Amino acid sequence: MVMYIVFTMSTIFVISLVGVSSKPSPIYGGLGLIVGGAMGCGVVFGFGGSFLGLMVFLIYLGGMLVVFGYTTAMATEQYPEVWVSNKVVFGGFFLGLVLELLVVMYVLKGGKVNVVFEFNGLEDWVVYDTGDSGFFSEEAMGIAALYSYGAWLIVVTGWSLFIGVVVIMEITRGN
Amino acid sequence: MSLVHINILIAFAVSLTGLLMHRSHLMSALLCLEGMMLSLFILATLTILSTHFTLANMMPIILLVFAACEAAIGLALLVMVSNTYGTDYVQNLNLLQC
Repeated sequence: MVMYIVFTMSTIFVISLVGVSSKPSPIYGGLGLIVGGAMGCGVVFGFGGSFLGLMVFLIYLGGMLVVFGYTTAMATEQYPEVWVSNKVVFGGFFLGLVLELLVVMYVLKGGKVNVVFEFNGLEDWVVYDTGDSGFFSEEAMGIAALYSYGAWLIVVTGWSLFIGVVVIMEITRGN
Repeated sequence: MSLVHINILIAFAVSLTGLLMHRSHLMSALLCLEGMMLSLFILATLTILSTHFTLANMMPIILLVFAACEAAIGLALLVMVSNTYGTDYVQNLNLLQC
């Protein structure tokens, strides 16, 4: 039953990304990305990754999309185009919707899809089970290893963030 | 591999198609790039959680850090384009004239 909820959330994820890439006005694209981020977070929760799901909300939606939101508000137009107000946008959205519904119906009827890999049915979501891990969450321990085994990763990402800030200040210097 | 992975792969392909076909705004292309990053994050997280590859759980976080860098630089370029031309329409970027 949980697997049907997770599959439905991944379908809504695809539909919201179709809504983003059919390109209405950017403010509505940001709205589609917010819905997609929430659904993606739910999919990750369904697979047991609570920390990574909450990271999507905090860093992706709360950090990156807020910046996109006010940059869009800065460069927006007087009559923004919603999905139903323009035939091109609505046609693209409808095409993506039909594609996704065809895929979902094929998957739910057949149960097995054989494209490049073989995608098994909805039921076996715990594919590999390698014994118990005690009382610790594997995911939290793996992320905590970022500071012990991944110390060089921390140095590289911190330095590249700093260089990114310097690059942005050089770009927006203008003159 | 579970059926949820098909939907996430379709989402990545849809965002890639949206990135490659411009309409009027440059901002829409940046938003499609963000959609691609989100679907890559979800795909990597699902695969790593399914295969219990504990140490690789830090990879989606690092991916998100570099995606944030890239989004910020893309937005800075968009702001400079918008300062020069007034809007961020793609048809204004015609200095190359080909």
